[in-house]
Amino acid sequence: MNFEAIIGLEIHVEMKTKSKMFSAAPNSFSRTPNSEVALLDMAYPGTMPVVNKQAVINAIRVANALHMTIDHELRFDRKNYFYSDLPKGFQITQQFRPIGSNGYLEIKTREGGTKRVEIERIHMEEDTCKQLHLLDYTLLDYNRAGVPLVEIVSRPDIRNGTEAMRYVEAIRNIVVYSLTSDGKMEEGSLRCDVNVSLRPYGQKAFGTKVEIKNINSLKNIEAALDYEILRQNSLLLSGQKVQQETRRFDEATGRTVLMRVKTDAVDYKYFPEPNIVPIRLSDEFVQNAIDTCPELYDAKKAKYLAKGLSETDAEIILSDLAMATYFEKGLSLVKNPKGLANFVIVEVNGYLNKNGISINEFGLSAENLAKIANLQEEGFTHKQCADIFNHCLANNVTPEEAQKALNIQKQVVDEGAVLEAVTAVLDANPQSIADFKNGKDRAKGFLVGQVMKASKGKLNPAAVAKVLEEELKKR
Amino acid sequence: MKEISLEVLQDAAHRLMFELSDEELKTLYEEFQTLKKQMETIGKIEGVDEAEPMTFPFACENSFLREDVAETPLDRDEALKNAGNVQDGQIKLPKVVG
Repeated sequence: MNFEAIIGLEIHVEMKTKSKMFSAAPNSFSRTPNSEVALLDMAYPGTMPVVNKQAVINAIRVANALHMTIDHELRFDRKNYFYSDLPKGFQITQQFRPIGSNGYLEIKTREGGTKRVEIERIHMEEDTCKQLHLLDYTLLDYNRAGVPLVEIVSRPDIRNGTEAMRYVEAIRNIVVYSLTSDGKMEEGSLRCDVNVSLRPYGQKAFGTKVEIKNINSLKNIEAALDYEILRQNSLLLSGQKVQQETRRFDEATGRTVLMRVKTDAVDYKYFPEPNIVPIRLSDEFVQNAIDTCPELYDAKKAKYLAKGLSETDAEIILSDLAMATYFEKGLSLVKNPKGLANFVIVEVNGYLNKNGISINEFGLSAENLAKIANLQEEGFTHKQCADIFNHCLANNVTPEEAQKALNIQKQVVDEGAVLEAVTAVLDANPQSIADFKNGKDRAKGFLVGQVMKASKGKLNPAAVAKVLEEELKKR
Repeated sequence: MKEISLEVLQDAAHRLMFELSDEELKTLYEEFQTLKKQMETIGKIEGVDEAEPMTFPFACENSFLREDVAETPLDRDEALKNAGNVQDGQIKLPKVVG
């Protein structure tokens, strides 16, 4: 029997606002535990929640990017449960009236087509405190309690691990480029829970679903799901039942591991939050949030492609928001965007990796990199430009200063001058011409080297190679 | 609706981990009987089933949102003052997961 996998995802995104969702405590990742809490976050009696404007703006922007219907009336609800990660005994969320509903996202399928994944809802809520479970006790740090979250819930439209990975990647691009969140899965600012069940092809009813929690990278989403689908498949084929349970992905073995078997669903006794009256968002407010949204990933990618970058190059630059911002600073200053992209991808990335630093700590301004990229357009070789690049970084000087210090001059591409030098070298090396004619390709390289040596590196090697090729044919 | 009997109240108290004396149990039971009668009276009002539940006593709304400005947080010692047990600036509990 053949089975079809039914996959739905719940994604929690931590917003990078300045303050928390309902209190004015700072929302900045602090290493000092319990140093960023307000009375409300600790649930002191008499404190009241007040909704953060920027969190609402962010949620509207994400909802809009996901083609959702936006509710112009904000309502919040209480999700009640008793656990140490939540001092109030309830979490404020939007159970009954999510800010966004009925959206979609288009992703590329494994087969190369595109597919629409429908999104049920996006709502705002507050994060819980961080619990550190040690051998025989637990420590609580309330810095994270109250951090604004958006939760994005897909419909069960996804069919395999690759689609799930691409869906999460697309969501991550939206939250990162709208400046809603860092979107870092490995640091927990984007967290992903996956539901997966199998059913025979053609059957309408869903099978028993398994939840996989807290997968910490895009690659692991794909790996976890592909493993879990195989696991359920072999259970069903051998006549066994899939249990309703929560599992986690073990990176070392590439398998999902049982965490707990689910019994009855917990009743959270949701009810409307009495401390926040309904908030009316004006049409202007909603429209302004949308209109002022920073340029998103897809728009930037289209822009880069239109400027002549390859899809791969555009994706490499866009894989890091700071890198894309740096690239765009130089973009309007260069003659050839692709040349600048090459410098960013090869030289800049190489330097960052070698020195273990981020683009934010990089010592050469985008304006100066643009100058170097332009030198190449003016006839300087890539090697010369790379030397200037490295000299700038090593000595903290401008490209002009580096060029002067290294005495780098534009190479001669004038065909007359090149021809003269090539003819002289050919005349002096009849043996190499004979070798070349006998099929020794290496002789050509030797001759180019001789010309470059004779000209003390002033001739352009590409021009030399071209002229030499033509002249060899004539002999 | 579940009938509120003495046994139901006793069971609820047990689940909430407190003891009720016979007298307290009787008082509570009588209060529930009064409530039940009141609900029955309300239930007789014509069209009551169609009425929308109200979350707030008045149908009010506002448009106030707090500007996203971080204020000075609570002093750490102050924040941890009510905690029974503190270690390394964190609240210490018996282990909560297995």
